[in-house]
Amino acid sequence: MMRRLLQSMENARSRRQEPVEFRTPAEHALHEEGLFKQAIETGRTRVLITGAVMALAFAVVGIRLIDVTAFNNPSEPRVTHAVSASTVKKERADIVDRNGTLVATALKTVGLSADPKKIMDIQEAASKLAAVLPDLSAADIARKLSSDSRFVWLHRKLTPYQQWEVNRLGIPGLDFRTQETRVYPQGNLMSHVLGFTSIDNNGLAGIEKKLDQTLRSSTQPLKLSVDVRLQHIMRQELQAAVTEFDAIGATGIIMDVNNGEILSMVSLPDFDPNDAGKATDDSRFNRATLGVYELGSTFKIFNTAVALDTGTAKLSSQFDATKPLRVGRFAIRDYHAKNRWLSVSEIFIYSSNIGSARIANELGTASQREFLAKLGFLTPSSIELPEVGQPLYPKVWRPVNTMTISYGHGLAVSPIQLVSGVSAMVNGGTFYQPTLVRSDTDRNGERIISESTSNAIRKLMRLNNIEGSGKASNAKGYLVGGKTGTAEKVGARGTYRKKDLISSYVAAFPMNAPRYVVYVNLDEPRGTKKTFGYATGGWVAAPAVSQVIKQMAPMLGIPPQDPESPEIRQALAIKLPNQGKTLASF
Amino acid sequence: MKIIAFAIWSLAAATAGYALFYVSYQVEALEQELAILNRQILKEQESLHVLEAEWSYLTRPDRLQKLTHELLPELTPVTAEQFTSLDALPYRTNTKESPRTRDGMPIPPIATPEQKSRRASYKGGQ
Repeated sequence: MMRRLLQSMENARSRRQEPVEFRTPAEHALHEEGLFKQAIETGRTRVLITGAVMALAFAVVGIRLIDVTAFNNPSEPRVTHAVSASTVKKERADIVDRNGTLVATALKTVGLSADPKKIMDIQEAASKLAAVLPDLSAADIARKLSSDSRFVWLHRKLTPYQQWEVNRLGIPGLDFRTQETRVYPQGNLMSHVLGFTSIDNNGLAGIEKKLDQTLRSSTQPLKLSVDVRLQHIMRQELQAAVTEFDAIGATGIIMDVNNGEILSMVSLPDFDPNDAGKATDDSRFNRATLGVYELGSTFKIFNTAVALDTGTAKLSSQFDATKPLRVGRFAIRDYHAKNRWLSVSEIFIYSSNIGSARIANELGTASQREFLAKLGFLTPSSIELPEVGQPLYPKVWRPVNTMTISYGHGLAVSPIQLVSGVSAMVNGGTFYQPTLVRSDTDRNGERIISESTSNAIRKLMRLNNIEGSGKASNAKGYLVGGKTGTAEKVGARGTYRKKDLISSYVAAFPMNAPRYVVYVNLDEPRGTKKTFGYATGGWVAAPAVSQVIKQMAPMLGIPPQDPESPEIRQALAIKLPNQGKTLASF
Repeated sequence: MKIIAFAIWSLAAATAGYALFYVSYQVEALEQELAILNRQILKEQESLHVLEAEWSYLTRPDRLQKLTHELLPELTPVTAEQFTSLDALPYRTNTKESPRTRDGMPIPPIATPEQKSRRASYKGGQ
């Protein structure tokens, strides 16, 4: 800076010699002083500008320094963003039962993976790993480690101790990966309801598959309508029945008649969803929803209901059941033939096939078909499971089909469809779609029969438990009413196999104001000495229903009622005109 | 005068600067503490979750039934006979002879006025 100043003075001096005009000494001195001042002025301005620029630069640096230190820059990630105290994020939401008991959850587990390129001595690593992971063989590990890929799974679920041991080996190229594993704490209990997932947490069966998207996106647990306690009672009783009667399988369902919620759904044999890969196809088969069966005499409930509702018959109407009914080359016979004219009530409690066929004949094919369609018996059930069976019914509905369907042959539906149908018959006539998911709001049903028809069906079902084939299903104080169903299974050649039965019992209680329908079905039961060799619904399934009701009703806090009390007698009394006496159904 | 003003200003600046950095560092320390706590909460939540699953596993109905059967053999499931309504319970009469049930079992003294009112209110609340 000084030099510039000197230079400018130098310039001024040299310029002074250049001018050619003449000046006096005084003028000369004055002129020199002016030039000098001008030079200093220029210098000062320059210093000022430079200084200002520098100051500005320092100020910017300073402000930025304060900004960085004291204020948070939004462009930089904050430490606290990495961890926040929100709830644990899970890939899949939990599933709980209607009381909040955890039935499916996701737990963090550690898996062992490897990058084969980074493994130095494959043989050594393999033998070392096999020593701490006894379920893997050294040869197997070596084969995996010799692969060309950069990533192989060695083990999907390590215990914490195994993880520590593998870590202690210190083999480079191994990696632990935290992953979620679906866990079903209740084991076999809910296997067919819940289904299971793949190792990568994709739903493969049951609720897990049907509601896969919901479970993935929801943070709230999914609440089922199923009650774990009732599920246990049902499963235990079914297992006892299967063992006693040497059956190949069994199904049990409990449904709330007033909203279609399923409180229990068991299918035996079952499997452990924690280890679904080892389950056999038979144990994975859901007999309650996927299996369709000809369910036999339980269909007489619907046949009677539609006849009463359409006005085709009254409870007192008489039908000829004196001899087997011949239709073409068929002969419809009765199991317990009475060989006389029977009223509609008698046809129901003596389970007369001939009588039912005659009622159906009078009713006509169109009405029957329409009614069965309303009950949802011609389309797969809309329950929240992927495993639903397509009902089997005749393509051409001939009069003979109408007659056999009246007593449950020639139309195959799944047990869950039957149970929702029976619920509608006893609850006052409203059909609810069966559901496994609990909803907070009231469900909407569809009225399919009148209140009075439903009332008549209740009385008939109760009477069947007193006078008819359902005596074994009674539970003291709970006014059980029901209907047996025994159907022969269809053999390989399309003929009925006399010895192989589907024996079932469908019951509702308490019959004066039904709350629950309980259904038990045994596949190929064999009669025992105790049942005098019989393997029909009344002998093998009804006792299981009784056991279930005896345990579940006190658990749900349903107060027992005195069947002798006048109100109950009044509500359930029925007239059997043939005998000229009133049977109080209690 | 100028010196005093300068001194006051520089003191103010220094104080402001100190306060700024002091608060800033404090916040940073607190945030770190928060992060640690949050991590701890997450860890606790995870172990809570594991414990929930374990609880569900240990209270499986079949296991409870087995344990009850072995350890509390006197405890049996509730049956319909054990239910009764409050109306069916007899009140104590004020005779010398102790009251008996229909089966002839003596009834222990009950129903002080206080108990009576409590019973009445329970019945009303049903």
